[in-house]
Parts: sequence; structure tokens; C-alpha cells
Amino acid sequence: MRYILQCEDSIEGIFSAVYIAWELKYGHENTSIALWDVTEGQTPELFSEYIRVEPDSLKAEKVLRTMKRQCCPLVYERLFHAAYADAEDKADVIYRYIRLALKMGNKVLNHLSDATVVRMMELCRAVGNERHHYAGFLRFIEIPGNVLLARYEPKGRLTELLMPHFVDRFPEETFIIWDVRRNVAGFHIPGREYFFMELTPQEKAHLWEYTEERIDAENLWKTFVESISIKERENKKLQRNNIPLHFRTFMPEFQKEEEG
Amino acid sequence: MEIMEKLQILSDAAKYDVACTSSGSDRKGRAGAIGNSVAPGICHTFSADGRCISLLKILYTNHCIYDCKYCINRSSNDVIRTSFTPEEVCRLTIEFYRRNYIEGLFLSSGIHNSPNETMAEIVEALMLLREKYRFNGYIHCKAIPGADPDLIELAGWYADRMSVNLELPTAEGLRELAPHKNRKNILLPMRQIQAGIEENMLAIGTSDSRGRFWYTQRELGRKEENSTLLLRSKLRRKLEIEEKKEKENTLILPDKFVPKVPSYGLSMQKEAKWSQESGGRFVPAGQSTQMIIGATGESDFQILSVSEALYKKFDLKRVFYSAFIRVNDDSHLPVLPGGPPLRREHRLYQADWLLRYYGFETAELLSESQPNFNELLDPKCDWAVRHPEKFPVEINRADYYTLLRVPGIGVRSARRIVKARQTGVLDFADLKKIGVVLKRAVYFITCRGKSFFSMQLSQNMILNQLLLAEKPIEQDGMQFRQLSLFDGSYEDLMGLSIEQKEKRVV
Repeated sequence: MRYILQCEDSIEGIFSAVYIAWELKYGHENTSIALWDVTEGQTPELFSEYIRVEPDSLKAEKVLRTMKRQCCPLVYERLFHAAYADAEDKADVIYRYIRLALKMGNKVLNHLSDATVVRMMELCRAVGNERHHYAGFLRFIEIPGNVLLARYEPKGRLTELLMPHFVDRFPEETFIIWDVRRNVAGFHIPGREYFFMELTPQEKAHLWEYTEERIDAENLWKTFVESISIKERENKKLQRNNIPLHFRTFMPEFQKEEEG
Repeated sequence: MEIMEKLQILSDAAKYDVACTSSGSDRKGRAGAIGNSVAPGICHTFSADGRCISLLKILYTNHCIYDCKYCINRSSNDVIRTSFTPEEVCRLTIEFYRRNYIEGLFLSSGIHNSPNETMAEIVEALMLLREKYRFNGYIHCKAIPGADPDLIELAGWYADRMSVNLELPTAEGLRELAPHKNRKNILLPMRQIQAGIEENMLAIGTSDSRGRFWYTQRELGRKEENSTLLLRSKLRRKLEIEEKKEKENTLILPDKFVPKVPSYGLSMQKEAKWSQESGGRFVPAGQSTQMIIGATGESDFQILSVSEALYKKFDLKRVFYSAFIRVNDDSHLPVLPGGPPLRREHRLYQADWLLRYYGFETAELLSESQPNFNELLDPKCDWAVRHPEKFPVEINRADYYTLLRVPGIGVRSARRIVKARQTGVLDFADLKKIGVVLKRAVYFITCRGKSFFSMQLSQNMILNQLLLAEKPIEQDGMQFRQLSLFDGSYEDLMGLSIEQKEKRVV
């Protein structure tokens, strides 16, 4: 018999399931964790019992506290990054990684001959790379009230990771980073702690309407990007390798001029 | 003139400057200011030529008193001339930065009236940007050869990185194409900045402004110490020679500022308010330079030797190479029917990495008898094929720098191998997961004493296989492919597509 724990796609959800996996004592070899959004669409596996785990912040916190105590910050950080990844198998990878980490300690970081550890590295690398890309490719527009607004559609859940960078960078700016795909936004107001909020449909519609207040800034930027390129070296393929099309949706330099 | 037109002209004129990196400085944001800086640098977009844009790269002015034959802004060219004001530079930087278009500012300039006047304008813009506009992000600026050392030092208290353009790899090339510039004049501010960085690192108690080359040499036990005192005495000696020369040399244009003999210590810090509140760092991201490739007749061997000397003696962070583009019709300039020598530029960058990260020396890669890189094969593969006595390398035992010499193993994968060996024995399949490019590495390594091939491979056969692994170069529309001698397991491991397999099996 196999036991499949289904959990919500969130830090709370995933780590609550890890907690339950230990509590149930069905044997780790027989237990796996899957995201419920993923399992819903699939045909159930034979000889398996599906157990739905509700997110519970107390349980998740217990797991995280244990990990913080037992392992070095690098291992702990990996767990978080993996949980932000855009991957169907991430909950199970985290579960298996925790088991390894509790068994072998911090050595797990370099244990690259193990498939779970390699997969963990891949998940973290994907999240880290995307975060690094968006640190550069994210674009703010100025909206009324001197507020800066960034809209983007990341693959991973990046807003949590991007906020600290931009708060450090723009301590005196009021700004919003809105993950359009997940409909979660990070808010920063000078002198206060930043926070996250899910947007209501009205707020969404409202934020969607805005365009750059000072269109001259955007036009100056477009002029610059065009004139800085060397015609004799033109290489659109290289450009596309370096900045794939899916990043470009909200970047003004890649928007065609709207005709009359 | 409208700001839009100025920006168009002065960024167009700056586009041939290569360095656009924002790396090397780690600086947290501060309340009341705008901006921070992260050491690895951040690319904010890519232009149509595929190059990274991370800084607002502009000339302060395209007025120029020099007549360098390769340069679009040469004094004899009939182009529209304009200049920014310091306020304009600041407003552009801040408005771009707030929208996350850029990491900061790259300020270069034509020589307006005199080196001193130009350097003073650059300093004024930086001062305003840091102190009035409270900009705490990345700044790269040029040090203008021939400018007063005090002005150059002052710029260094505001900038993260400074660079002096070497322009051309050798002094002869410079004489031929840039008659108003001379090599000594270029190296002098470079030495001054180096001495300043050394002194500042000593005062702060850090070595974080040093270039990668320095670290690699130290790890390999090859480092020679460059003390601040030594640098200063070198500088003074140079300056004395310079002064004597200057009296004889009529090509140097008269400066309206009277040159004084500077002490070459760091004496201007008190003038730079920003530096005190921001941690007192002098050019924390180090200095770089660039040279044009293919405008003059130097070989790759000469060019790379120059780079190596610059890394060794001036502790540069980077040397940038820029494939020559014929923007002026001048009989002294070569005509390149194949367009700018991009492939050559690429090979030089690869070799540059081998010097800085891999511990290679120029003499290992090139020589008088083999002065240029192989167009078809990257410098490391080329070296490996010529040195069968160094291989195979045992993956589970070889040290870091030996691993780095294997084609297909880079800095990241070598580090991972060294780490992964602590908890297990590695096999070919593990290497693939670690990120080793097996289609290159497989000829040069063993795992647990076993080679991937059960027979001895000849040098020629390896060479052919490596050429095959490279992207084929089209010649007049024809592609040549080598038949494979190996069975399917090879293709599977190399991750070749079915289409490639069919082509190979034939």
C-alpha cells in the first residue's frame, strides 16, 4: 500500500504535509507528497491511499523550526527556494530532501550523486536564476501619487524573494510588485515593513488600467536602447537567448509603437 | 537641443565602449538615498546586437580635440556635436533607475577643450548625482589620460569602477591611429588608480577590490606582492620621465591648468562628502580597460600578452576586447570584408577567462610560432589536444586546477565535482548531472580509473570528434560532418538529438 499526501501549493501547505508524513508513521518508503492541484487532474494510482492535508501554520512552523535547529542556513534556504519553484514534484522533493538532511546533516548539500539532491539543486537553481533575471527585467511604471507599480508573470513564486532587494534599493519609494499570475502583490511604503496582499477583482482591474504617467521617461529609454545597439553586430538570436520572449511582456523597450 | 536628441547622439556615440558590467561592488541601500549595488552585477535588458545593457552608457560630450582615426567622434568628422549638463545626466540616471531600467551610470566623454576640463565635468556630474540626487547605485566613469591627478582621484571617491582606455594593444598601433595619445600617458592614471585602490584596501583592511587574476595566482602559489609604496615610487619615476618628455613632445596639447607634481597618496577624500557617509571606498569595483581588435596588425599572442601584463602589473578587474568596426573611411584603417572580427574577439574573451579563472599562462596557449587562436576550436580544447601527456585526468582524485584544465569542465562544474567527491564516488552519468559537457570532456577523463572508450584514441580522432561537437561553421552553404565510430550509447550519453544521431550514423 502507498500513501499519497495531497497538500496546498504554499509554504504552509507543503511543510504541513511533511509534518503529517512523520506523524502517520506509515514508513517513509511508502509515503509521498503531491500538490493537490496536480493530483486532481490525474487518474489515481492503483493501490494508493490519497490523504488530503489542510495547511496548518503551527505544523509547518514546527517542521521549519526543527530544520533551522538541525541544519545550516544553506540547507534551510534551499527548502524555501524549492517551495517557491514552479515544479509539480517539488513537495515530494522537499520531503525526501528533509529526510536525507536529517540523516546525513549538512553533508546533504554536496551529496550530488543522489537523485533527490540533484533535483533539489535544479529546483533552487531555476528559482535563483529567475529571481536574478527579474531583478533586472522587472519594470516599474509611475502611477498617480508618485507610486511605482511593477507587473510581471513569473514562473516561480518570486515576489517574496524580490521584495527585500527592491526595499533595500528604493527605501524612499512607495512601490507595488504585482505577480499577475498568482494575483499576489508586495507593497512597500517608506518607513514601514513591507507586506503582501491578495488583490480583489476591483483592485486588480484598477491596477491593470494604469499606464506610465510620464511617458517621456519611457520614450527616452526606448531611444537609448535603440541607439546603443551596434548595427554591424546585430544578432537577434543572441538577444533572444539572453532575454527570452516571455520576459518581455511588460518591458517598454519591447513594445511596438501603437499606431494613431 | 531637446534632451531626447542629446540622448540619441550621446548614447549612439558611446556604443563602441564595451564595458557595460555593473559588477564588483556590494553596497547596501541607505535611508534617504536611492540605490544599492550587488557584486555579481545585473543585466537589465539586451540590445538588438545581443549585448547586455546594465548601465546608462553615455558620453558627457562628443566634442573632441583629438583626431583618432578609428573613432566616430574624431575632430575631423562632420557630426552634430552636443554636451549634457550635469543636471541632465542626473535626471536621466534617476528616472531610469527608479523604473528599474538600469543598475547605474557609465559616463565617458570626448575630450572637450582639454583633458582637465573634461575630467572636471565628469567629476561635477558625479558629485551632483551622489550628493544632491542621493544616488547610491553603481557608477563607472572614465579617467581621462593627461588630466590632473587630483581630479582623477576625486572621481575615484565617487565612482565604483574607473577605466582608462588602452585603445590599441601596442604603442606602435597607438602612434599610427591615435597620434594625440601615447601609451605612457594612458598607463599613468591606471597606475595612479591602482595605487589608490591598494592604499584604500589597506586602510579598510580588505582585498575585495582585487581582480580574479590575483586570487587565482595566489591560489596557485604564483603571486608576487605589489606594495603600495612600491607602486608609488614606480609612479613618481614614471612621472619624472613624463615631465621631461612633455617638454619635448609638441603633440601633447597645452593644458590651461598648470600641472603640479602630486604626491600620489590619497589626499582628496575630504573633498568628497559622499565617500565619508558611504564607507570611504576608493574605486571599490576596481578598474578595467579595453582595446580594439583588428584595427592594427597585432597577433592574438601579442594581445593576450598585453592583457596578462595588465592583470599582473596593474591588477585590473577586466580587459575588454572590441572587434574593430570601420566607422570612418580612412586609408590607415583596414578594410574587413567579412565584417567585424567577432569570432576572434570571442576567442580572446575565452582565453582571457583562461588567464583569470583557470590559471593558464599566455605562453601555454600561444607562441611566436603559433601566434593566433584556432578559428574552429576553443583555446582550451586546442591546448588539450596538443598536450596528450596531461591526460587522462581521474575525476575522483584530481585537484581543482587540474580539473579546470579538462575541456568541458568549467568553474562551476569543477567546484561541484570537488564537493560531490566528499560524499560519494563519481561516474560518467553523475558528471552529466553535475553539468560537465561530456561531449568535450569524455576524451580527457577517467572515472574510477576507467575510460569511457575501450580503445586507445588517437590525437587526430579526438580532434575530429571535438570539431564535430562544435557548432558547424557554414562555408558557402555546405556543411561537413564526420562519420561516427561509436555506437548508440555514446549519443545517448552526450544527449544528442535523434536527428543528430541519424546524421552521425548514416
